[in-house]
Amino acid sequence: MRPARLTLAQFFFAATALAAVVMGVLLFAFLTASRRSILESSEHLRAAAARRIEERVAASLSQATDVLEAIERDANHGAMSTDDPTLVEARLFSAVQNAPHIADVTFTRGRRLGFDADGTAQLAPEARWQVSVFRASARPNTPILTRVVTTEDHRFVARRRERAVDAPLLAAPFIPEGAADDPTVHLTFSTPASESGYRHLHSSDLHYSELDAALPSMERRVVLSVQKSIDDAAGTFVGVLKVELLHATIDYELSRLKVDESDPADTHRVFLCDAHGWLVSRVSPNDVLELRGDDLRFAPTHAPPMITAALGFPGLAGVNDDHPDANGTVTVAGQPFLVTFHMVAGSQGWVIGIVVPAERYTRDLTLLRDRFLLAFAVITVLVLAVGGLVLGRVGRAFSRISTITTRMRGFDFAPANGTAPFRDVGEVMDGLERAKTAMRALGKYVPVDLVRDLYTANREPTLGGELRDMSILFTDIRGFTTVAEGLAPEVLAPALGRYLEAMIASVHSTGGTIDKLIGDGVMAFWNAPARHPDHAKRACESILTCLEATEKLFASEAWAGLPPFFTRYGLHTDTVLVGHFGAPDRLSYTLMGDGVNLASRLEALGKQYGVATLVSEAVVERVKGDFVFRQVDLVAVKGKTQGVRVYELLGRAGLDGPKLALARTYERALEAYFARDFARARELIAAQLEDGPSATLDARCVHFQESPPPPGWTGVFVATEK
Amino acid sequence: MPIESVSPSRVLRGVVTGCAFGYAGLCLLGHLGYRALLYPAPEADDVAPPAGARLVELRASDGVAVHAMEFANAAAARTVVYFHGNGEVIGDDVWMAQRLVAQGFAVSLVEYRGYGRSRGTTPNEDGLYADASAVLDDLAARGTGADRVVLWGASLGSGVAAEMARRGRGAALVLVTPYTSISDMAALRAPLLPARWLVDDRFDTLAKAASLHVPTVVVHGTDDEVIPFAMGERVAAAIPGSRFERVKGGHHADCFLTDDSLLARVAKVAR
Repeated sequence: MRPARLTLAQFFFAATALAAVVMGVLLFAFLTASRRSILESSEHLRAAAARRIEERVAASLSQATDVLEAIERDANHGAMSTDDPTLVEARLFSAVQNAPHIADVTFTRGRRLGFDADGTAQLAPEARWQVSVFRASARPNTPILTRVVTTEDHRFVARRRERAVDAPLLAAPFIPEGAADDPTVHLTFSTPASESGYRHLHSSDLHYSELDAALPSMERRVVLSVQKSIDDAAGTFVGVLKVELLHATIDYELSRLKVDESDPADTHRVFLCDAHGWLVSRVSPNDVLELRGDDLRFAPTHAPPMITAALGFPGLAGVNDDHPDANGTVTVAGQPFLVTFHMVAGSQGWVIGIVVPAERYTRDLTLLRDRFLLAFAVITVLVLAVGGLVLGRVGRAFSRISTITTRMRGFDFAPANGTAPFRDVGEVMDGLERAKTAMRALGKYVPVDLVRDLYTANREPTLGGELRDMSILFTDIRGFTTVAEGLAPEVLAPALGRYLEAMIASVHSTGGTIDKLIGDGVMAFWNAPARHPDHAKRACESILTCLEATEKLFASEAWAGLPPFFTRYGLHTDTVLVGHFGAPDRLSYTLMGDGVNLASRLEALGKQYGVATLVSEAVVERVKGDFVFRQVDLVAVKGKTQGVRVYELLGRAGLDGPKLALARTYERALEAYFARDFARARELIAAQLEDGPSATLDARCVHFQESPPPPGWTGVFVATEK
Repeated sequence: MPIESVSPSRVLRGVVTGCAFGYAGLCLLGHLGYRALLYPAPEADDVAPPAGARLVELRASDGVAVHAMEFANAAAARTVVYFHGNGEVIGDDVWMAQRLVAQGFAVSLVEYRGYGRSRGTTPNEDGLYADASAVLDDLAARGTGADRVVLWGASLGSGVAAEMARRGRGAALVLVTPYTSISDMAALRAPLLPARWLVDDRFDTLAKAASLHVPTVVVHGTDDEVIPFAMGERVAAAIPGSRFERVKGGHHADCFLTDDSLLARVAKVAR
């Protein structure tokens, strides 16, 4: 059992699949790592942007503080008298005039006597008044108004005057407003004036400006305020200063902020919220304010989904002064968005939020991935297509090679004219063709059956043989040397070639093996290497076929009028050694044994009788029924004492006619000869002396009539020449 | 830091869509191109007939030129009409023809359209049947009728031989390394494709088996690397009264070379 092996195609497809999987895994790992690294660096980018934005927001918020501190300084140094409302009004007016984002600056006067048990300031009943300088609305270039609350007859009354834009400070007259509340009762006064709030800066979160209390809430200004107690040059509490900053300033600042300044199509969104996820800035112009808890917050009615999702980010709740940063991802409609939160230091718990589609950072990577996947798919398809095509052609070539080798195993060495698609495959096929050519060439020198057997056995021949019953034939052309001398070589060679071709074909047609060509002679045998139990019959048939074939050849045009060759045949059947003989590296497949010599001598002996065929008794005994013979003599060939009967092959069974009659007459004469009746023998053959054997017998009888043979003569003719 | 990876559903959708298109494309390619795989005619037309053989040129019923190489045998009672495999030309079976001649048959090697000398027309199932019929008609016209014909098919040719036997064109049938059907072969070779529906040339020998009533021999090598041995067994089992020759160690093309006595046994049935 051979181990299971892959075919070329299986290997190719497996290797391609493996390569594809490895590439896919590598690509996935690369993309994941790249994505991670890109997103991490984007986080740093957003953190830096958040700090930048924090500074801007803080700067906006500090406008109010700056104004407050400037006025406070004036009061501290005595540069602003805090006893005269008109002087205070002038100072506040200049502050409002110079700071466009300031909505209102209010100074509330009060003289503190001390503190209550709970730390609340105790105020003197007199010297309570308030000056507010404020803008008429949030719009630019609106008139600046003044409202003054003073005491008259122990009642608080308010007056107001409105100055047109660019009008002189004190030009407008005051218009009485009537009764007013005690301005020191308000929380914005009492808190900074209290014991615990004294000299501290107090900020308040978003709230509607009280200046617009009469307006509908949509039109009311939203402000942030800072309050602080004010001391005079002597360090005595004189009142509280409040500065209100328009919230719109912050919206405006935020709307101008960009995370990536260099990208006009920046998709980052910046917003301001608190840790509850409530908006402190508008994200769309229609967002309305709602009271959330104690603070005013914007309801994100038209907020983009990514901001809504960002506000719901769980990490936002954990943002505080100790942990000012939070980062993460939220998902909207299956798309990831990156969020970054950063608390604004020193604010009312305000948090800067930045949200951006992850796609902004991973877009290039995604593009790269898609391109790579496309290229990968195209390459894979190409590899499969080209590979499949090549494999198909290689497979076809292999199948062709297999077919050719099958043909060779079937002993077909005819040239094949196929073409190979690739040089290396072509070289294999050329190699096969060369092998076939060699086999064809070899078949011209050695018996084809032998080659076939060797080829089938798939091994080299080794020295050795076996005893086998064989029929052995020798042929020779009578007087060939003389014929040859009379012919030009260029005439002789083709003639001999045609003659031998006919002879060999006749031998092959009966399954015989050509052992060798000996000049003009042929040595052939039957029953090896292919076994034929009827080898003697085949051999006789072959002789007759040879005779007919050569006769036909001599009569043909191809013979071109040359004299016909007379061929002698010697045939014998015997048990001889057959096999590979010679030197180990120079073998010939041939026969060894007495039987071989006898066959050869029979052929030579034919000369004595002038017959074409001389066949041994062993042959005749086997094929008596199939062919007709005549006994020619009883001969002891050279080196033998035992006589053997030798016969002439006359033809196939059923032969009749004068030839047969002649032969039978000769046989009767031969019997008379063996019986020493030489006169009778001569008498019988007297009429047929043109027959070779008859003439030979007649000559012998003449000889014995003159000098009779010795007693004990058996009639055996001792052949002295080979 | 939680970083969301590429949405899996999107990737999956893309992969599934891509695979679906790829599969459909593969099916289309398979349907249009399977004949190139089924009929890989070698680029060889070595049809110079050896001694004792001659070439016959015929026209199939649809006008396509068909060739056959005839090996005469005066002593033969029957003529083997030989249908070769899909990767062969008749020159590849000359040795087989010569062995059949030695077994006492006359032989006619049929060259299908698209192969060797009959090159130029694309082969298909009906075309191959037409080619076979043309050769058989020609033999009948010259006196070798169905009663004197042995239908001998090897590999692809087994389907042609079986069809001719079904049509009553021979007195004996020899199927060497047969398949149950080309549809089955396609399913075997392209296991992931709906190959049975993609292949029009079905050569459904198994379906015809029950209607074959001539003496039949099925030969199959146990080590066949092209057509599974089991297919030969199934075909033999389905043909009534058929004889199955199991060639131990035989490959696809060398059964008669692996077992020297096989040809004589097969010839005995076919004679």
